[in-house]
Order: sequence, then structure tokens, then C-alpha cells
Amino acid sequence: MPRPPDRLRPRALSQRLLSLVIDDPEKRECLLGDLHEDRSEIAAARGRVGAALWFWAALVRVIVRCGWERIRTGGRTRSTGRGGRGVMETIIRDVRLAARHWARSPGFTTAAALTVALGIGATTTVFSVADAVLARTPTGVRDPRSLVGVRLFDSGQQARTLFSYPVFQEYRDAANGLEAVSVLDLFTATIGAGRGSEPQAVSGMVVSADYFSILGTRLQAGRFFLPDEDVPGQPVPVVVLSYGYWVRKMGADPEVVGRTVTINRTAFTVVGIAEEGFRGHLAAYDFSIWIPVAAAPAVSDIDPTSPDVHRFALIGRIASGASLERVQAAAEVVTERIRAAHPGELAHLSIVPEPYQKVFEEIRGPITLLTALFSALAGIVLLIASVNVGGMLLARASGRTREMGIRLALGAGRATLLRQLLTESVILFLVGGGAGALLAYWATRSIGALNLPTPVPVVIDAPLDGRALLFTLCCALLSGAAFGLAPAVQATTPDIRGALVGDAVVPSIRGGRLRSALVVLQVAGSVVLLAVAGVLARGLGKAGEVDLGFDPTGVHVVGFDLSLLRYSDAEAQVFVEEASRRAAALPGVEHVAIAGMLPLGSSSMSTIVEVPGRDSSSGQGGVATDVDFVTADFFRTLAIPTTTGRSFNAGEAREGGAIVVNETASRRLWPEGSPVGKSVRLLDREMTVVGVVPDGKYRSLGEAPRPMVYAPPRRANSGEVFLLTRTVPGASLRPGALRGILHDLDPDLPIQTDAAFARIIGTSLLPNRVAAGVAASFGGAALLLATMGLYGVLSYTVGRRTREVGIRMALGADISRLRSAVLLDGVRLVGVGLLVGIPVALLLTWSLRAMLYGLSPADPGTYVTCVVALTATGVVASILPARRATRVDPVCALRSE
Amino acid sequence: MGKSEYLGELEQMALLAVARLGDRAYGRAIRTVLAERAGRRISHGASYVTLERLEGKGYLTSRVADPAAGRGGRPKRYFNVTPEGFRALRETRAAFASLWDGLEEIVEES
Repeated sequence: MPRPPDRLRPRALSQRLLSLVIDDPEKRECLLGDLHEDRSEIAAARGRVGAALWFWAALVRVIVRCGWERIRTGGRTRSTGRGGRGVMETIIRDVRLAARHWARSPGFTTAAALTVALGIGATTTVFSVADAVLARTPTGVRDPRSLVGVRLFDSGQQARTLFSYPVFQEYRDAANGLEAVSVLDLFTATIGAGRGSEPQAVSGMVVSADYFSILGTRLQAGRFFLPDEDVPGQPVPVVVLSYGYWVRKMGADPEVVGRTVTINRTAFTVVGIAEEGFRGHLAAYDFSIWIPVAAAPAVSDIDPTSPDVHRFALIGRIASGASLERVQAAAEVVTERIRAAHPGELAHLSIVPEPYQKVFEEIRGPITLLTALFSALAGIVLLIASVNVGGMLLARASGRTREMGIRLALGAGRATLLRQLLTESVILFLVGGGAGALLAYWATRSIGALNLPTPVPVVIDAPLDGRALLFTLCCALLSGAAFGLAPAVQATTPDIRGALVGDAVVPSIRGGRLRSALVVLQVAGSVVLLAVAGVLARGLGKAGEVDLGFDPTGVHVVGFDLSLLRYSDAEAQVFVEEASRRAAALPGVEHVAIAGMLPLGSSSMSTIVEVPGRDSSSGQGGVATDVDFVTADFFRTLAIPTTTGRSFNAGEAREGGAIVVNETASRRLWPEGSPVGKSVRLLDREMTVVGVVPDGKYRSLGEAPRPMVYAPPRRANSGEVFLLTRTVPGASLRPGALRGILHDLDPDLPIQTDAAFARIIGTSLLPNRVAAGVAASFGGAALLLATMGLYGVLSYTVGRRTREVGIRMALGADISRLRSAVLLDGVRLVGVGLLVGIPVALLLTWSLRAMLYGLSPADPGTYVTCVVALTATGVVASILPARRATRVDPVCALRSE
Repeated sequence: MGKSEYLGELEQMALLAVARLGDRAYGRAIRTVLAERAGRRISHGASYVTLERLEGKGYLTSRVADPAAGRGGRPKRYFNVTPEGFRALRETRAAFASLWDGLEEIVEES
């Protein structure tokens, strides 16, 4: 077919596309004429753009329909009338041919299938995790579309706030368009299942009786809460357990309903076990127990129904027949009424019901970013893998032009050949995809077994289910078809005569360009992956060099929460002092301290420090600062030196009244000089600064210097406290020694933390480690693939130039110049790939700034290394082909025709 | 094409549409008749494939006319029903008639 010069214009493009499925040019023209007529009509109604869109959509449908017809009839557009092969038969025959074809070259097949497996395995793993964390409705939550999260905004503070119980009641009892609405509050409690078992800290929810029916959750055994059990002021201690807790901690005892368990030293009756898999409605979080609001005072000191306690989130289900808009309109009416009834403190409240999915998304925010990054990286790996295999197929296809030419000459339909070649590539991708699924299965299992250090336990339940497998299958089929099509089209294009005569004389320019483009893509993808991996790893390294401001080596930490067991302040004080005394007596222990917060731990507290007598409006009067409540030995335990003044003495630590500040706090509060001896107001108390310590890291390794104030402990019974010990160098603590001390003092006390301090800090780096590890393994795979791809393409190109090289050598060309010409070819491809890939890599690494600890996203070290590594790869991949090229015997080369 | 080869539903409809259009039966006109008379809106692909199949079976012949205006200068392909095609239509109708025989009342009433 003569090629018109304007072959990329739409008309020519539509012709070319149609030619894939309709051989007869006249029929194509007529069909396009029909489409054109309709297009003109549609253009009059919908405009030119609409008509163009319609046209292309219609064209695609024609191609799909006709393509399917050809597959169905085995490429016979005209029936022979003698019952040709059925669809199934054709497919089976094609598959058998393809399998035989691959079995003939096991080396190539294994390499290609493994490549595909790597790409698809990575993508499927990330897909499964993303699907589990981001997309899937938690087990036991049904029909999430009619669920709403009801939010409360305070227009005075311009912030979101939480409901108090009375406001909830008003909203619940008003005409709100909801079938039912429930409060939610999260808590941590200790639960003992019986004698002798070590008490466990678990995460639980305080809910209304309707909570389960709103979500549509079912029961494994027993019942949910009754309305009688949901009347504040009349506590009935009943509890519903999660299936997981019931199985793990109670051995799935069928008799458990009706028995009592001890929660924070109060006996609760187990009334029900929720259905298998239900862990609450909050995605990956793992809740084990639910209690009604009325019973909440039994697990905490707070009266949840007081108007001053704002701690409830709301979830509700839209009544059948109502819509979200109606629920929102109803909420506005209720808002008005509440504002009018409470002109004082509630005058600025707005109740805003929002789709549950939206509420959900916010909870998952941080995970989303990481997942998006991994998805991008995995996608790049799959792309590289597909491109790579596409390149391999293309190279083979060129080698098969002769075979195809002969088959065409013998009367095989082009469609039949296309179909067979496509089947070959799809089979290859399916086999690779199968291996990829196995890889993903293993990877998701490993991820599920991870124990992530989060305040509420997180379970990433990413089973390799139907959806993930379907995704894998689609990936395999699509990439198989996409990357098999070009080689297949190319292989079946050549003119028959040329192929029979031997077309090695005129290598296909178009195929060459396509191959080069594939290599460029691979190099670009590799540089992206390598740069991301490199920058993340260097960032991690940088995190290790960060000056923490303290020394965690040799420090062991146990954390416990006496408020769970309802210790009074005095009792807690005695407990903590006794525990410290016993810990100090352990062999090897040098210092012991108590702290309310751990630097780089999972919680932090901040407050305002004021300098008395200063005008607070001047901006220097009060400074927002982090605060930690620590005993006198804290600084020695963590090896924090005092730069000025001293630490508090034991008396001050007991009585309060003295504080130690860090350098940043000192500079902000007293820019003029030393703060020692100055007084401040902190938490409604006058305190004297006795010392200054250097800045450290308090919340994250990447943070800028922030002000910190250390005050002596106030109450030992409010929340988790930490007992820290430092052992003398060379000595180490007997495992479980601290735990033993605590349990000697109170066998019911759950130990929430028990680890070396260095390990706790290490876990705060976990996301970075995981990200760097994933990126590095993807990057390594990409580098390997790119090397293989480059080598394949270059050795192929050189092979095709045997004759040219032979002639040149016969004419006396310089061998080393020929070699460097081949080398240069390879390096040029790498160069273009780098030019394409580096901007993308910069964009990605720039978005990861927060994980780099001050390392520049454009870290020159990383980028130079990437460039050097890939260029070296290019050179290595080119050397062998270059050597082979120049070892050609000119006589052989010339005779090769 | 043996005697036992009956027409599929769409094939039958397309043949009837071509027969109805006489000398004016080309792709777009056929699709219009099917839509207006039978309420069947079929895609370009489906109509192309069906007509092609009917031609392959020898029930239709086609000829390409000169390029026409309003079609981007592209030709039309006109179809005609062959005697074979008319016979197939008759046979199909007869087969249906014999299947329907005596069933009208039952089908109408239920």
C-alpha cells in the first residue's frame, strides 16, 4: 500500500486502524463513509468536538466487533459452508502452538516470564495492599453508601470538634433523616480473661446500642446491646467481643457468652461475639471490644455524658427513602435550633453530615501517600518489565520475518498469524502473571504479618483475593496484548518477496526505532526507580547521623498506664517510686528515670509557657512549647548534658516548682541572656528555671529545633508513663526483668511498651525503611531489566549490521572506531533515557522531601551515581555486541546473503 | 450452504431491511430501517459484520458506487438480496410458521 505523506492525520489513522480488521480497502472506505455521514449529523447537534469523540468511540467499537468476528471465525471472512473450526478449537490450537513455540527456547522463555512475574508480582502486591487499605469496605460493614459520618464544626474556632453527649442526644432525637445514629469514642483498656492469664491492653470503642445495626454487622454468637443497656446513668457492664479476640484469647470457647471478663478491674458480662473479620468500621484498625456509652464510666474516670466532655464522633445510616441532601438539610435545621437554645457556648456550632467514604479518606490520609508512591513505583516496574519483554518479542519477531513471509506466501491469513503471535505473547504474560501472583501471595502474607507500631493496632489484611487476581489477570492480558501487538504487526508486515529473498540487507528502520524507544523507556524508568531508592536510602542514612540530643544506647523502656486500673494519685506515686527503687537495684543498672513522654515516642504534649509580667500580646510573653514530666535522673539516664545551670534535685522533683528548658525555648523566652533563676508560668503554676539543656529531637527525626520544657512529674495516674533504665556500658538488662518488677507489684497491670529505646526510635523510621527497601528492590530489578534490555537490543542491532560491518572492514575501516561506534550507539540510548527519566525522578523525590531529613531531593550524590551506574550499564551491555561485531570475518559477512 | 442453514434473528432482520430498501440499501439506510421499523439500534460494527456474513453465505451481493458528497468523498456500498437470500427468508419463515402452528391461542392467552 503506498503510504500517503499525511499518514498520521485522522483520516489516514482511521484507515490504518480499520485495516487491522478489514482487509478490503473499498469496504473500509464505504464503512468510513457511513461513519462520516453520522458524524456530520452529530456535529450539527453536539458540535465538532462531540462528533469527533463519537466518531473515535464508534471506530473503536467497529474494530472490536470486527476483530472479535475474525477471531470467532478464525480469520475467515467468508464462510466455506463446511463447518470450519469452532472458537474453542481455534483457541486451543493457538495455545498449543504458542506453548510449543515457547518450549523450543526455554532460556528466552524463562527470562521473559520471570521479568513479567517481577513486574506483575510487584503491581499485584501494591494493588492488594492499596485495595485493602484504601478501597475495601471493612468486613462486617454493609451498604456503606448510605452511611454518614456526622461532623461538628465550630465556626468560632474555625475547627472541627467533637460532640458532647447532650448535643448528640438533641441531634439524635430531632428529625434528622437518619434511620439511626450512634456515638463513637475510642479507648484503651486492660482486659483479663481469667485467672493466670497476663492482662492485655486492647483497643475498644464506646458506642450506642444501634452501632452494629447501623453498620449492618452480624453476630457470631449472642446479641448486641439492648436499648436498656444504653441509658446513661444506669450503667450495665456488658461487652461485645471481636471474633479475632474471641479466637485468639479465649480459644473460640462457645460458652463464653454470659461469662464475665474483667475490664479495668470491673466485671463485664460478655453478651455477644461480632461476626468473623469485623474489627470496627475504621479500615485497617483493629478493635477488640465494644461497650455501651452507659458503661463507659467503668473504664475511664470521665463521665461521658457531661456537657463539658466533647469526645464523640457520630456515625449514622440514612433512612430508606431519604437522601444525603435531605439529611444535610435536616442537620441545618437542628443546628439552628441548638444555636437558638444555647446562645452561649454552642452559638457557633454546625452539624454537618458527610458521606462515610469521605470521613474514611481522612483517616487513611497518611497511608494513602505511601501507597500512591508504591503504586507509582510498582507501575514503573511493570512498565519496564513489559517494555523489556516487548523488546525481546520485537527482536524475535524481526528474526521471524522470514518464517512469516513464507507462511503468508503459502496463503496464511494475516489475521491468523497476528492472532497466533498475540496468543504467544499473551500466553507468556499469563505464565509470568501466574508466577507474579505467587510472588504477590508471598509478599502480602509477609505484609500481613508485620507488627506496625501504631497507637491502635493496625492489621493490613490484604488477602490475595478475587479482585487482586482479576487485577493480575488484566495486567497480564493487557500488557501481553499491548506489548505483543507491535512485534506481531511488524512481523506480519514485510512484503513476501523481500522476506523470501532474505531481507537482512535492509533492516527495518521502523522496528529499529521502536526498539530504541523501548530501551529509552527502560532507562528512563530505571533512573526514576534508582533515584527514588537512592534518595530514600541516603535520607535514612542521614537519619542515623541526626543529633538526637540524647543517647538511647543502653536504655531500656517499659510503659504502663496506672489509670487503667484506677489507681489514685497517691497509690500511683507509691507504685512508681517502688518500681523505680527495684529497677535501680537490678544488676548493671546505672540510672533510672520516669517520664510522661518519650522523645520520638508515639505521643507528645504541648502547652504555653508564659513569663510573668510580660505583655502576652507582644508575642514574647508566651511561647508554645512541648512539655515532658520527668524525674530528676532523666537527664543522666538519657545522657543529656546541662549546658547552663543544673538538673532538678530530688526535692524539686518531688515538690515541683523547678523546670529545665532546652536552648530553643531559652532563646525564644529570654533572647537577652541566661534564663537560669528566671520564673515562668506553666500549667497554672509558677516555676523557676534551674537549667538549660541542648536541643534534641522530640517528635520526629526530621523536625526543626523546637522548644521543650521539662517539669517534674505531676500525677502518676494520668495516662501512660515510662520507666527508663540505663545500664553501665558492657552490662545488659536481663530480658523481662523490668516487666517482672511491675508484675510483682501488680499482676493485673498490662505492659504497653517493653523495648530497648533504640528499637523504639527505630520503629519511628519504619515507614522510611519500608519505602527505601521497596524502592531499592524495585530499583535493583529495574537496573537488571534495563541491562538485559540494552544488551538484547544492541546485540540484535549489531547482528543486523553484520554485512555493513563486514563491508567496512573489508574496505579497511579501523576496528576500534567500529567498536566505539557500536558503544556510542548504546550510550546514546542511555543518554536519551536519562534525559527523559531525570525530570520525572526529580518530581517524585521532591514529593518525598518530608522523608529525607534535610537531604536535598535533588541530592547530587544520588543522581550522579544513578547516571554513572546506568551509563556503565549501557557500556557493559554494548561491549559484547561491539566485540562480536568486529570479530566478523568480512568474507563470511559478505557471503551471508 | 445446506438447506438446514436457518437465519439468525439479526440476519433475518437485515435481509428484510435490504429487501425493503430495494436499490437504496446501503449501510446507513439499513441501520435506519432496523431502528425505525424493528426498534433495533445496532452498531456500525454489528451491521458490517452481519452484512458481510450474509454476503459470505451468498444471500447478498454488493456493489460499490461512486464517491458521494456528504460522506467525505467516500463511496457507498449497496446491497441486493440474491435469489438464495429470498429462499433462505422463505425457509426461515416456513420453519417459524410450522413451529407457531396451533400455538397462537396459548401464547396470546398466557
